[in-house]
Amino acid sequence: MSKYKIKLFQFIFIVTGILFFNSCKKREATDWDSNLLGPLFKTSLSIDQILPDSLTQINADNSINVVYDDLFTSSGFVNTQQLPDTAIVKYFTIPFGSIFLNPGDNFLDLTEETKLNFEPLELSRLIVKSGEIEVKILNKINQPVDVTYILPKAIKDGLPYTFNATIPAYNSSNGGNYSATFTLDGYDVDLRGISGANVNRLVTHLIASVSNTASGLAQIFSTDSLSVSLKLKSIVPYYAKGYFGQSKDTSSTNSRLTLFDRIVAGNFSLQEAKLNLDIKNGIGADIRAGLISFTSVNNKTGNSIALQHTSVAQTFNVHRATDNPFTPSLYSFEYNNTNSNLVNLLENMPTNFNYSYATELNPFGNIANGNDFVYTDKAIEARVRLDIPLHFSSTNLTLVDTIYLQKDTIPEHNTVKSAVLKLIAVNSFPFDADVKFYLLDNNLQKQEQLMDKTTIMAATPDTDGKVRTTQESRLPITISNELLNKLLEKRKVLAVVTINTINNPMKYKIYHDYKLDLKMTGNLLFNVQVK
Amino acid sequence: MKSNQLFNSIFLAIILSLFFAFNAYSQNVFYNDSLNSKKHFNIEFFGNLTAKSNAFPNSFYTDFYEGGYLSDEVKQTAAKELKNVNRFGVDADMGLVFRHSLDTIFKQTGWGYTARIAERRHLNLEMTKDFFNVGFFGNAMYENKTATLANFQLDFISYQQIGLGIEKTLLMKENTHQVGIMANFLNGRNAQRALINKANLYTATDGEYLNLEIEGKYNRTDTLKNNQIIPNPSKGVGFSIDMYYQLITKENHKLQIAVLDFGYLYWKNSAIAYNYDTLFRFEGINIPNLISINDSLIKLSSDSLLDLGKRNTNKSFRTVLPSWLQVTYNHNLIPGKLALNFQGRYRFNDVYMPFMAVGATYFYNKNTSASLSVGYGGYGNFNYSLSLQQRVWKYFTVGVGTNQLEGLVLPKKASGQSVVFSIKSWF
Repeated sequence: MSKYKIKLFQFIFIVTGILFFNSCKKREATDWDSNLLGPLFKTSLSIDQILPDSLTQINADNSINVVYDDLFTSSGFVNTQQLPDTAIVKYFTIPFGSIFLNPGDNFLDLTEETKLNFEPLELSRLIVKSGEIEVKILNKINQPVDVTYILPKAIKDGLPYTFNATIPAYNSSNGGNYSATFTLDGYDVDLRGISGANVNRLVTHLIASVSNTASGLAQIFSTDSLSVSLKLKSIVPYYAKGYFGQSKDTSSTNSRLTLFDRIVAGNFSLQEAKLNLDIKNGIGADIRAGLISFTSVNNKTGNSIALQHTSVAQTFNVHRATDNPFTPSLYSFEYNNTNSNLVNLLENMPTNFNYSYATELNPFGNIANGNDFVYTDKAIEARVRLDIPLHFSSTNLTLVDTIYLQKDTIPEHNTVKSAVLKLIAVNSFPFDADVKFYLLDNNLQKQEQLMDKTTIMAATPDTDGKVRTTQESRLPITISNELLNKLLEKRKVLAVVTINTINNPMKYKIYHDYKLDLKMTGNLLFNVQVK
Repeated sequence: MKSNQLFNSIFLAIILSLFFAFNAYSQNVFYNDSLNSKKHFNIEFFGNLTAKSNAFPNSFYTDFYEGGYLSDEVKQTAAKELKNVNRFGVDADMGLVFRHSLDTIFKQTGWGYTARIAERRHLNLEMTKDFFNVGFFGNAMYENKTATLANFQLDFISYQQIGLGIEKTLLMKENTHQVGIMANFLNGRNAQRALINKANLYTATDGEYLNLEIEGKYNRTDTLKNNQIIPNPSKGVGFSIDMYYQLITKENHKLQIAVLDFGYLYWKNSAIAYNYDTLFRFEGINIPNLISINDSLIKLSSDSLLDLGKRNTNKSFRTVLPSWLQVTYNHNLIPGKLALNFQGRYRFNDVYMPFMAVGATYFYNKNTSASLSVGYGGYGNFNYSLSLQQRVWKYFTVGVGTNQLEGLVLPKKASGQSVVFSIKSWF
């Protein structure tokens, strides 16, 4: 009996011990599924977010115009952006034969004019905005020489351009060479030469004497010389005057338009559109110009529509500006519904505008008698202003966008097992929006549709065409565990939104206070884990 | 006559039902039950693991504790048993008590001293039905309704205890009086405390928005080195005292009154504290511009939801220990054969309800006894305890039992489970 009891209690004690100490073992995490219902995110989509502020104009009635306003500036008709570099090399021999001169004695004083290589421009006056004069002098006399070089008709602050230099003796260590560079910024240069009746002529005045620093008498032989090399470099004029010559040019180019890039199908119809072209000629020369062609090209559909307007394939004369005071000449053109097919060009949803044009400078010759002028900061300006009231109807207008879900954007796999989402949309735009999402593979190719098409219903406008009552839509979106796994794996989704205006083909204005409030709520099967 | 028979039958039934009854002795180690022994030294090694709830079945919190996936079936089983207020308590203690009864000291008699070391863990939890539902099933079932999440209370403490005490035994008019007091130094290991006084969660239709009204606080010691068992870093210090008075009459009546674990723990600066007092409406994470969604990272992080109140870090806090007030009456109905036990106890600073128990101890012989009791209150409703004591070899008495007998009989359905043991020796 005693033995039995001992064994029984030993057994109970061991079991108790195991149970007790087993409770101290390290436990694994506990998890369970929980249905969490709540809002996930919200956003509001208004015109301000769809179009940048710089492209929208709010009208007095709160309606919106899309306005594209740009300014093109060119002085390309007259090539005065930078005049060609011009080198002037002068070789002076001493006119007196073999003589001895004391230090300080002049032996050269010479005024000349040099023709500058500015053709076809025939300039009589030039105000230098920036530029340099590079001077190189070789002295073959056995004593140093003082040189004064003057451009007597290049004036700044009432004084002519002047530089002084002492040229070392020929037998010195550097062999009588001298070189330096000076700025010509701000000099007003008369290019009419010594007579005052030429063009492209630069007047120079050279004075040379035996330097006072000479060690003794300078013995000059008839073979001795002083050679001077001048180079006008990088001359950028602020103002040029003369005759700019005659020239013709024809150019073709294209402009890329990204406005309709996200639209892949469907069409829209605009109520109206207007394009204003304002040309300001700030050049004192006559110009003849013409728009040869202007075409709206949609590379996605292959459709091209040419602009029809009286200005196309016609030339017009842009008269010269006048100086003192400066007064540009102005020309304006307007393209609208009544005088052109501009609306059709826009409804083509162009990816490019292709256009070609012709220009001709001084088509009537030198009728101003050499008084053409140009200020480089007051050249030709062309202002283009495209004004499109957001007043339209749309049929199956389909926009696409790719959404890349970043790693932290969606919950981890083991956290959310499945979800029934609900998109709550409060719409004040007068159009429906069918929303579809597709899963994309790594090559951005559509794989499968994530959910059935859901439609955000259009708000209904009042009889005056304005929406005053919003329309609410509640759209369920079911995401299974399988679908969630695919999303986590691919992380790329294509959003396809198809827009149809209500009461098509009635056109409606879009007002600034219209918006689409979106809120996504979710009933998530959430795996809760407690460690 | 019939009424007398009925009374006698009922009385007999009660007596029989209390046969073998003995109140769980996990709390009894403190008393000097060796007064009748001629031995001077007594040493006891004891352990206790007891869990009890008025709602959650064993299957639920056992599965929860063991870890792994909690199926809907497990959660539903628990949900069926939910009350308006649901309580749960766990005690896990293990320790060693040494007692020396002195013959004389400074010419005084009746003095003794005790020493104890123990490892203590305690958890108590109180939550509403709605809190459980939101926590384990989610708030979807409360669409267009308000879930009442308060009152919620969670307390967990883990500490080591080392105590020294003295006892004095007096014999007056043939009755034995004994008083004892023990002072304990506490080494705090971990603590968590959550107290939500007010919390209402309204879930709008389709989850369009959530309204959360919350007022509460949460304290937690830092979790650094929590996985270390020995040695465990100290994260707090504390002090507690235990006191008792025991009366044993010459007619074998025994009355015990005790106050246990009266003290507090002070947790050091590395603790973390959250204070919530806010009315919060959540309508989703705002995306300023849907067009540039690729640049606007949507983080469905719960951080933004949790950051509802002021968060303080490196803040110390204090835990007032759940302390016991315990009264026990014991009478040897048939000396050497049968004793009756009555017990009442209450635990302050806890979700514990007043507890009453009645039971009996049957002495098979002087070496073997068994106790059975039935009680009501505490963390649950009814509970039953059973224990066996057996003297083995010459110097040892081994005891093993349970404070939740129902947990052994119906291990899945019952809402409590317990195992207690002791090895005691007099020499």
